[in-house]
Amino acid sequence: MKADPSGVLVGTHFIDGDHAACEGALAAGCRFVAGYPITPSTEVVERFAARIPLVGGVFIQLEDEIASSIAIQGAVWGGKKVMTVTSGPGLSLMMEHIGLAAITECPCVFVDVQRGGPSTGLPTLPAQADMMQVKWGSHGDYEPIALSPNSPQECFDLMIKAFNLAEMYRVPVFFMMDEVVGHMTERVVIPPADQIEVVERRWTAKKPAEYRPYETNGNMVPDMVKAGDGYRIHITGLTHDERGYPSMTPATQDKLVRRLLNKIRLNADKLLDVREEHTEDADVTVISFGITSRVATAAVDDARAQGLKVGHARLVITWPFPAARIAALAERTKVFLVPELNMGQMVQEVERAVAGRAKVVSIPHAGGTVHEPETILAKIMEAAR
Amino acid sequence: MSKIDIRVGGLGGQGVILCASIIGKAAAIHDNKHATLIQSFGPEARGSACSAQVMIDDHPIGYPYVKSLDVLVVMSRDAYKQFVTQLKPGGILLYEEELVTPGAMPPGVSAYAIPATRFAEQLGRRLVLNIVMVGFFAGVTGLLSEQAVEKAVLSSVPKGTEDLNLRAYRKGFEYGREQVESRRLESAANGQTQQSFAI
Amino acid sequence: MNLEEYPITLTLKDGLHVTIRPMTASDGPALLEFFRSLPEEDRQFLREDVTQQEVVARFVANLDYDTVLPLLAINEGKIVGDATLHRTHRGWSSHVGEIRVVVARAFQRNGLGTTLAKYLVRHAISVGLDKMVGEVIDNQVGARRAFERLGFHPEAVLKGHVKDIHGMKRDLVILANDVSHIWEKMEAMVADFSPTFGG
Repeated sequence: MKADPSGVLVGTHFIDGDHAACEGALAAGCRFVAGYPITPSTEVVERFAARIPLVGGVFIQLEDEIASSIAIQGAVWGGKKVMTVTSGPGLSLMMEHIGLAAITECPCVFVDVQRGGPSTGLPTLPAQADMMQVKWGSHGDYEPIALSPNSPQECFDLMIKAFNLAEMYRVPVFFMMDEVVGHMTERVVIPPADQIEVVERRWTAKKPAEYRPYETNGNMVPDMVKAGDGYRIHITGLTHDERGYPSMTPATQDKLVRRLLNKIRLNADKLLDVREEHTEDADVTVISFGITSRVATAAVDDARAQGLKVGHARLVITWPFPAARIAALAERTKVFLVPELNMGQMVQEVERAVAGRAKVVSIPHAGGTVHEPETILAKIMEAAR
Repeated sequence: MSKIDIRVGGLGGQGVILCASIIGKAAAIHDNKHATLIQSFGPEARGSACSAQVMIDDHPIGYPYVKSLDVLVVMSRDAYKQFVTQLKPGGILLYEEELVTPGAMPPGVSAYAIPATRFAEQLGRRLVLNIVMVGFFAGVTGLLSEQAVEKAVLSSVPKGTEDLNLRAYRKGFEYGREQVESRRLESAANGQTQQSFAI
Repeated sequence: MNLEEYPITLTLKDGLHVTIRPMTASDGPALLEFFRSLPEEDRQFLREDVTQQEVVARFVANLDYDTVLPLLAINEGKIVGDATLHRTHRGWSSHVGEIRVVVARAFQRNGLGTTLAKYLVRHAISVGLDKMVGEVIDNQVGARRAFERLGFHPEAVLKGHVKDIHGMKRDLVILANDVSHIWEKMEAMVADFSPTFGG
């Protein structure tokens, strides 16, 4: 389906990642945002609030992130595409409601413009240390989707992808930006609406008497309804059956939780987005994501100019983690280097996927600024020996 | 064109970010180059040091931070002191003549001065000082096409202020062009070659 | 507006063509003829006897566009409209400009006065003025409407301040157009201050 032109700011712009992310959401059809201001994410919602008088939509600044993360879910059941925007401290507050979104299969986008942590940390400086939190932060078993843009253009393009994935899989989707990408200004080209593919919510074709909210029609993702269409539904965070009513039995639990996980795990191949360069013949492969990937590119280019067989695998979708692809790369690569603006998070997933078949070296960073290309280059040279 | 690293520095309230942003916009939108702008603010509303870096390249920009500068534009003494050592040998320093007194510079740096604040006041509004600096940058370095920078100025300033801002831009541009031209004639007379940027 | 953009040719509502341009030193005779052709009540706002040749000769000899910018509307070689922007460069109202407009009767009611005033408004903004004023007598409905179309609002009434040609006292209405908000927008843009710092 093509995007709704009312939300598409067609043209060539010179804007930062926060602003581009807002435009991506609008282009994707997002018309409800609830949020609470927090550096370095505030500009995303400020722009949304400024744009919607012309585009149409609602923005509410709520009393905190706890309220924001649940308000958006109400809006989903009211039929809207939604997002909330925050940084680390706000994301921590949202954890309970993230679990609710997972078990009620609520399509929503959480934008996390990561900053130094833990706690209040470095509000105005970057980090990439919330990567594991979005996967494991809420209690229980659930599988989110997470994307990592590395430029303002990607903040636009990948936001559309984030909203599309949310609708396709009915999961909370995390848009993992960071302060540098959020506040860096570059050219962003926004194409006409008819060149933007948007996935609409799959509304049920069944009549109210026949519709079961959590009955799947073979593809593991149930069809949705919205309030006001005449369907009587019960949506609960308690373990529930196809009717949506609580069903507190191990059997229901097993069936529900497995489906929630499998709708992502069994579609891992469709959820693969790793951008690779020179990995076909790489002895050393750098695995990176987000802003770090731009530093890594500089280091990899330098190393290749010196004749080293170095490859670069940039994770655009970080969750579900592309374990199969990394395992396949481990057949050829001898050393994986994983630079990230944290003290070693995604590297653990790399280690798991590689399962000892290659060496995995973490290039950690406590945050506050990005790696120097020389640091990564030095590790590449060391690994190449 | 290989990568050009530019930094604009000054005090909050001088329009440092706007100046850098117009340069980046001109390059990225109107001259079809790649440009990345990253800024740093001070904590107070006015009077805090602030600076912005702009990288311009024909190729997509990877690592987005400038290390050594091809061009440094400064509107305050503190910005000059903080960033002058980052200038490459052979780089260009553009400074506000009445607010900055340059001292020792890295070797081979060409320095150009402009009384931008005075020009802005003469034109009618002190706050167009940064637009005068944009024009000066464009006139001295020749890195961007005139039309690109003019378009970027017009699309960056509030409706109603276009006339004055365009005049401010042109004033800075002409002043920059004149200085470059007179130095070129001087060097030619002395038998030296003048370093310059190609567009 | 840059003065290089003149002369400008326009077609008025009734199909008549006029050329608009700043007054020059050679316009003396034509200006005298224009003033002499005006009915007395249209001339009464002028503080000098503009039907006298020496008075008009002095006007054109002392042209200083920075202080008084006179724009003329010319049709078939004759002056049919004269609008002026008055500024003071010193004193407590140097940020304010006054606009005065007079149009030949035959050319009234077709937008010429509004057009002349519009160009002067643009010029005033482009030289950085914060505010413009115009004066009309309480019964000059057409003139008042012309100013209001350009964003002027009645700001003050000076009672009995004017004696018309019959000697009757009338109120003088001061209409004002405050454009400082345009510049406030630009002030915000050059603030170089991030309000979301911290927290």
